[in-house]
Amino acid sequence: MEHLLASLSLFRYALAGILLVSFICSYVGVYIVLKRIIFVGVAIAQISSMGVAFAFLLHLPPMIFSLLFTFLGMLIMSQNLAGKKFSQEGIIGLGFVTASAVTTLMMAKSPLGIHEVEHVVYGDILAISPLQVYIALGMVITVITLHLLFYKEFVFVSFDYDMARAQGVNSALWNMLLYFSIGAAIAIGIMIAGNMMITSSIILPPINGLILARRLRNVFIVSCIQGVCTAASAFFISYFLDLPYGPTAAASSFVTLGFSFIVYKFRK
Amino acid sequence: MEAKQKENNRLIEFREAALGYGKRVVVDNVNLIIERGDFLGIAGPNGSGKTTLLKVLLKMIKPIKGSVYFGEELRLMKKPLGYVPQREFLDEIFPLTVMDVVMMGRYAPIGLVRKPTQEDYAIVHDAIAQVNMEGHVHRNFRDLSGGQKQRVLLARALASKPSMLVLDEPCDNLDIAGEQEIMELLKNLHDEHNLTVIMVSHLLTVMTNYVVKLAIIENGKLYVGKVDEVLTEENLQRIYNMKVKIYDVGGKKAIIGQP
Repeated sequence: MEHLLASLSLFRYALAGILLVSFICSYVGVYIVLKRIIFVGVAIAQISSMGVAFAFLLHLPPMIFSLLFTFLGMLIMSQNLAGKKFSQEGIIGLGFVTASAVTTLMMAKSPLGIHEVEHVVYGDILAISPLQVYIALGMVITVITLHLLFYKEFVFVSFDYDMARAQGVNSALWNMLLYFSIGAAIAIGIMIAGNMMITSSIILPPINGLILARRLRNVFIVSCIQGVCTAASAFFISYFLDLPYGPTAAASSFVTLGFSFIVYKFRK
Repeated sequence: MEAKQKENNRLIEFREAALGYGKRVVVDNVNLIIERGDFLGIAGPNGSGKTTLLKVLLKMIKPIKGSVYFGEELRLMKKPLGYVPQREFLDEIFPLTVMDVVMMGRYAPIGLVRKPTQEDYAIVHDAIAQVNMEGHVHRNFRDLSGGQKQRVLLARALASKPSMLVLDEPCDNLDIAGEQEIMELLKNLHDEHNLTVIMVSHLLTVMTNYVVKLAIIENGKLYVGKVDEVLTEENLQRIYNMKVKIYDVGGKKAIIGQP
């Protein structure tokens, strides 16, 4: 017990950081799943990593460039660029593959060396600093405030973009703001908890919420609770079993999802 | 005085408008006046430009040439346009109740940050009652039948207290009872509440028995007039490029295509 408390004290910033980002990613993930833009989320996570690698290559601030790349990526992917010969999925796939390849190439050419940069690009919870936790806290407060204030606008443009527009609502603006809030959560989340943990947080808890809840507000609540609980339990599992955190978090989410599915089947 | 009255009655006017995308004109030289109290049906073969016309009405695209005038109510959004989209376009993954969906019609008047007031709830309940869906307020929208969904979307448009209703294929994929139910509802809203109704549909038989004016798009041109003026066998044969017969069945028109 003493050992656990000592470890908790040592990793308190790591725990605080992952709880914050898992909470916000599980929240914005509901929109990602509802708007059927899961692949956009995955590609954006990769583009965000590319921003960090770019910053390291040129000795620039990584957080700023992660956000900048994410916003640019969101701006491009929120536009309908599909034509008769290529689909929107094709563009998203192109973004993902290009970002993955460029990230690896930039890491290889980084003056710090690939292994030094890797833990920053893909996140390393043991390296979470107090500053990163404060940045994550600031981002969570900003995004949640934005979503609480403009909940009805975000839901309206997500559910029926054209009707919202016909009613005089600036659908394009609200859609862009929604995408930017999703982008901010993903970009900061990746730098703190890594690509795999964030990708699983934006997909699995929201799916769980949709399986268990019958009302939209409850979907958000279930998703956030599951996101935070699995992030915390994965933290302790990875600590005691000496496992890498990202895959442990993704596996924990998947197991929870399996239980939810059984509950759903029985309830039916 | 009379000119002012005329101006007030004119909701939308297309003046020699060319409608399309980029430089590609889909419907040319459109002259169309939509006045308060109109019940207009817009028909035409697939790909003729019905959706393009609708997008201009919804201000989603601008005319390539000519102009489209929107009356004061619509221009200043004093009374919005009550749009009823094709229900298939709405994603069933959203776990929204009938109340949630109809309340969306009040979102613009409620404004930013504010929550719905008692008055908004009263308007929403009224709109739900107008479409006879009172017993389904707390049901999930996705669990409703096609006809019920259509009525809920109609209630949402009514909740916004619109200057006019614009419906996109309201009877698509409905059974005969559903078609009749929706059309009777629209007729009632038009007759009893003097609501302006514009509907786009490829179901000519269903539409022509209810609307007062008919607009048909043929080869990039729009023809508008009273139903009996536009709906002739000669016109339909030319537009659809096939033999068409119009029968009178118990006072209602039945349009049958023949090989």
